[in-house]
Amino acid sequence: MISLRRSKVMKLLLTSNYAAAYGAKLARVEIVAAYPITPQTQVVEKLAEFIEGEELKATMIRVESEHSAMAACIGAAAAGARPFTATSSQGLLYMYEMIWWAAGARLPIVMGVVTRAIAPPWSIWSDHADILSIRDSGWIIIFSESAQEVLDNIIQAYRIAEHKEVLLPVAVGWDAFTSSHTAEPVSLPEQELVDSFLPPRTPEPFVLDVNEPISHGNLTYPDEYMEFRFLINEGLERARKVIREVGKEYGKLTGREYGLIEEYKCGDADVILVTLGSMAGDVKDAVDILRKEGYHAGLVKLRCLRPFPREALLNALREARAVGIVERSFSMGRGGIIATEINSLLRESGVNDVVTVSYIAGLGGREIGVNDFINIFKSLFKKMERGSGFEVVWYGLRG
Amino acid sequence: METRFLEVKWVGRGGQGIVTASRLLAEVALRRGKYAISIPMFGAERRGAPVVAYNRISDEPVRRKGPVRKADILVVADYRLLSMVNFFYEVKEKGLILFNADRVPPPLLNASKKVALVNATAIALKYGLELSGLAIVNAPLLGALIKVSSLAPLSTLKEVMKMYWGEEGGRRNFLCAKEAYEEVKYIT
Repeated sequence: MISLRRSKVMKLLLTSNYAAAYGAKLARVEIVAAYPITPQTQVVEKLAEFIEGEELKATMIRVESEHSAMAACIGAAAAGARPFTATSSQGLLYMYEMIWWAAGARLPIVMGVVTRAIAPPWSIWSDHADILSIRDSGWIIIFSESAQEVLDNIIQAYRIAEHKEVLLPVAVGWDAFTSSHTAEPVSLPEQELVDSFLPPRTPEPFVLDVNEPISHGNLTYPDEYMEFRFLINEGLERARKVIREVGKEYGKLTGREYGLIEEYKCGDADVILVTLGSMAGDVKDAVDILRKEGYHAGLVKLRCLRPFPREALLNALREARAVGIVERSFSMGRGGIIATEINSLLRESGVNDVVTVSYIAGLGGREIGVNDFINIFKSLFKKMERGSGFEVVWYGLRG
Repeated sequence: METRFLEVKWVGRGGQGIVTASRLLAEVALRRGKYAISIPMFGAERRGAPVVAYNRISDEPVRRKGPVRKADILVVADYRLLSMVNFFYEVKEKGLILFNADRVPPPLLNASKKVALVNATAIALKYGLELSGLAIVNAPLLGALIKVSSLAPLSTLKEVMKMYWGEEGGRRNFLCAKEAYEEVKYIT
């Protein structure tokens, strides 16, 4: 096997959108079906360029909606091909029916989601309400902090989706504008290396074949439906191990290892912030600044939202005295979606001597940066004295 | 608190090439062995509307992606934007404002910050860098910025411009950049 560290690495200045297109190209996707929506459009534009320039041997299916985009991916995957699509916000909601179909049919589709706020009021900026709307559908959901991670995650997503123990679609998320349009240095692995990591898809026995006709999606009677749902969950539970193994193998090839979560200076931390996406970079800088001032602060970055990284999270958080979950998502009438999950994980695991605070922040692209995270950390260092409890805070709300 | 970054804020109008300028600056920094990111702020993009972009340049990987609140260098592509935004507040104490104007804008005469001036519009028009009556001022502003920041030699900018705009486009843009590099001057 070739080691990328020894072979030639090309470093390009890429936005996360372009990194996604390069990732799909390196994964040798065969079908691209997508409908343009801000801020996803450049992903598909770049792929169209690759196909036009014969750098990528794939078919671009021009569809009239996101619903059709996912339907085309479902057809392609059901026939044994390797499809890719990308969308955002309203587009993801428009394909919602097909989202459940893709997971229910156990099809290894990979989709980029440029996470953006849902209207009304109209907004094109960063928010995680869209991607979290597919949380319970059976899709694997992976989130990216940087353009490098977008590229790496898309390549790994095909290995995970097509794994015989998994066979489920994977959504790879990255933040609108903050990531999608921000240009960063990205190491581009060589095609040869990606080929050795990700061979062509070997179709399962149930793929559609005109010579051996079968049909998908028939009526399932009450005697069978529950078993199908149970088996989807089994696949998702097994995906946890597969994601880790794939992330480790990718690390051996590229020097960039991936897990279900990333821990940053959590070992001795009294206060840990949990976040995801581009915010994680700003939190790392905040942690370093606070550590110089003597605060024991740490970060847990959620890479994988589904399957939920139960054991990894518990392991990282159980010694903390306060845990703040900063997220761009909210369940109306309840609290932060990820925060309530983490809070219940801690309580159901018998970890009661910890204060958990759900910070709702950055909705619709509201600015949030290093100084905000320092403020949040400092307020958690005060709150931890309470010893226990759960609270929801809308951070930065105008009075 | 943090001094390991060079943070640049670009302010201009849609059509002046501000987002591209920020991108090219990151490319220049990358070629000088630095880490750099280019962050454009998007809204309802239209010609003439205010546009903002940022750069963070460092010897270490740049992790933070929040907007630059206090810049080391503020580049203002249209001085009339001065009446709309308080740019002075957005520059660090020892920061620099690089202005595109033919004369010193009155509010800057008493500025406590360092101010540099270049007539990027005139230079762009001289070389025909104009689209629908709007001068594309990113190339001269990049030339001037390379000079005042000492970030890279002109030759690096030349390479990057050639990569982005090809032989002829690169040559014309570089002539603009070179002229601005030579003409930019400090006024405070």
